[in-house]
Amino acid sequence: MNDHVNARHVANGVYWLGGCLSAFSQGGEVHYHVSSYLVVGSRASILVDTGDPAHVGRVLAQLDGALAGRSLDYIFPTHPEIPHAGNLPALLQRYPEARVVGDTRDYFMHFPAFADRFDAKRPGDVIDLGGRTFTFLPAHIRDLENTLWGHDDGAGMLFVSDGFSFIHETPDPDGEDEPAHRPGQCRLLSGEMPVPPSVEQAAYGTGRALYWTKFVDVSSAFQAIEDVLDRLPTTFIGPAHGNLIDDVDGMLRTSLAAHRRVYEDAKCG
Amino acid sequence: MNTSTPALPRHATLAGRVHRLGGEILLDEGTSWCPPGVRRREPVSAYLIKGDYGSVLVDTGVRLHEAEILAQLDELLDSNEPLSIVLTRTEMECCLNIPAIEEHHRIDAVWYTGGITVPRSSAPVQRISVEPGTWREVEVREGVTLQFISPLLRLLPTLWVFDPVSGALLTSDAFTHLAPPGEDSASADPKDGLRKFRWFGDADTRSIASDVRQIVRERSVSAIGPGYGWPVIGTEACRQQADRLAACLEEVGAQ
Repeated sequence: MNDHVNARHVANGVYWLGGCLSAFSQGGEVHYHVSSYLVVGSRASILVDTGDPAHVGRVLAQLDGALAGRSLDYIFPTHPEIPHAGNLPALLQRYPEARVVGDTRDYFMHFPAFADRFDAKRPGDVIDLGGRTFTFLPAHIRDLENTLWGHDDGAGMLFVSDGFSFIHETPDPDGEDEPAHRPGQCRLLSGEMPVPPSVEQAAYGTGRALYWTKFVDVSSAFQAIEDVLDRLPTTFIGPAHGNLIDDVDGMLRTSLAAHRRVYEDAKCG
Repeated sequence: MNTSTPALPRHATLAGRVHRLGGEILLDEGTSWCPPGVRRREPVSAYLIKGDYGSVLVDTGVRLHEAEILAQLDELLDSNEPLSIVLTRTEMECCLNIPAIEEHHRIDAVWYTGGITVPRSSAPVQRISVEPGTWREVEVREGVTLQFISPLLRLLPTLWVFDPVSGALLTSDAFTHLAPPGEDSASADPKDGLRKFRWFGDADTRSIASDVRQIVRERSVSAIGPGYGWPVIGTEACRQQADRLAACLEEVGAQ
C-alpha cells in the first residue's frame, strides 16, 4: 500500500515508513523524502532512522501498523541529525524495551534522559533478527563522521542514509539544498517512477546535500560500495532522502556519474 | 562516562555585549570530534548578544546543558525581554533547546540556514540562504545588525555570525581546537579541530584556507567564539589563530 498513512511493505519483512517535507520552487511544490525502514525478523525488529519530528505521529502510527502488536527491539539512527534521530525520544517512550544501536558517540549530549539505552556498534557488528541478520557497515558516502550504513540479508537491502539521494525535478538554483521530488512521486520505487532519474537530477541533490563532494573525487568510495555489493547480495537500496532503489546497477552508475559531475563542475568553477 | 559538570552556572563575557552560555562535556572517545588519545573537559557554547531592545541567542546549547542555559538566560535577560534565535547550523547541538527556552522566554523569531530540517518552534521560523564564500548583513532585531557569513569551511549548511559592535565572530563548528585558559594557546594543534572534516584530506583545500584568512582579516575581530572548545580573545590572537588554522588546512589538503 502506498497511501502515506500506512507503512509500505516493500520486501520480505521490510517496510518503508516516513513521509515527505514540502517546499516551493519554480512556482511549484517539491517534496523531500525523509524515510525510515523497519526490518522484522522472527525474533526481533529494527527501525533504521527515526524520521523527522514533523512526522512523529505518522511514523508512530506506521510502526504500530507494521509491527502488528509486536515490540520494536532496536532503533538504529544512522547518524545524529534531526531527520535521522530526531524522533528518538518519542520512539523510546513508546517502546520502553527498545535499544538504540549504531555509532552512538555524541548521543549523551542530545538525549541525556536515555543514556542507559545506547549500545555502540561498529562496522562489521551483526544483530540476529531471527531468520535474517542485520550487519552494520561503514558509511562510504556521509556527512557526519559518526554515520553507519546497514544491510539486511533477509531482503537483500542496503540502507545508505544520506547516500544515493536524488531528485526527479531540478528546482531553481536558489531553491532548497536537499534532494527533492514532485508530488505524486512519494514513496515510489525508483523503477515505478515515470522515468529513471538522470545524472543531472542526481547531481543536483548530491551537490547541494553533500557539500564536500564538490571538493573530493569519490571514485574510491564507489569502489568500496561495489565491494560491499559483491560481498552482500543486494536487491534494494534504501536512501533516507530519495526513492527506494530497485534498480541497483543502474542507480550505482547514475550516482557515480552524478558525483563526478559535481566534482568536475566545481573544479571548473 | 560523559557527564555534565555542575560548575559553570554563570555565563562568561566573550566580548562587549556578547556572552558565552552553556556547560562543559568530557571530551573523550564518546565524542565524535575528539582527537585520538585526548581526554579533557571542554565547553559546548551558545552565545547571547544583548541589544538595547531585545537580545539575540546564537545557538541554544546541547540538551545535556538545558538547565545551565535556562539559568544563564534568566540571569542575563530582563523580565519579558524579547529574544530572537539564530542557528549556525540546524544540527542537534545547536537547536534542541528551543522548546525549553520557549517555555521560559518570549521568542519572536528563529533564523536558520539549510535545507529540509526546519527548527521546531512556535515562533516564526525564517530561513536564510547565503552562498558559500559570501556573507549578508541582516538586522535580526532593532539594534542588533549581524553579518551572516557562509564559510567554505563547513560540512553542512553553516553560518558564522559576526557582531560588528563587539567584534565577536561566532564560528559554530570551526576554531574548536583552542587550549583551555591557563594553557599555552600556541601548543593547541588546529588539526585537533578538524576531526569532523576528514574529507579535507582528499580535497584541494586552498580556497577553504583562503576563505578563513579573508573572513578574519576583513573584519575587526576581537574574539572568536566556537560552538565547542575554548574561545580566542584579542585581535592579534584571532588573526594568529586564523592564520594557523588556514595553514593547517593547506597542510592537510590533497592539493
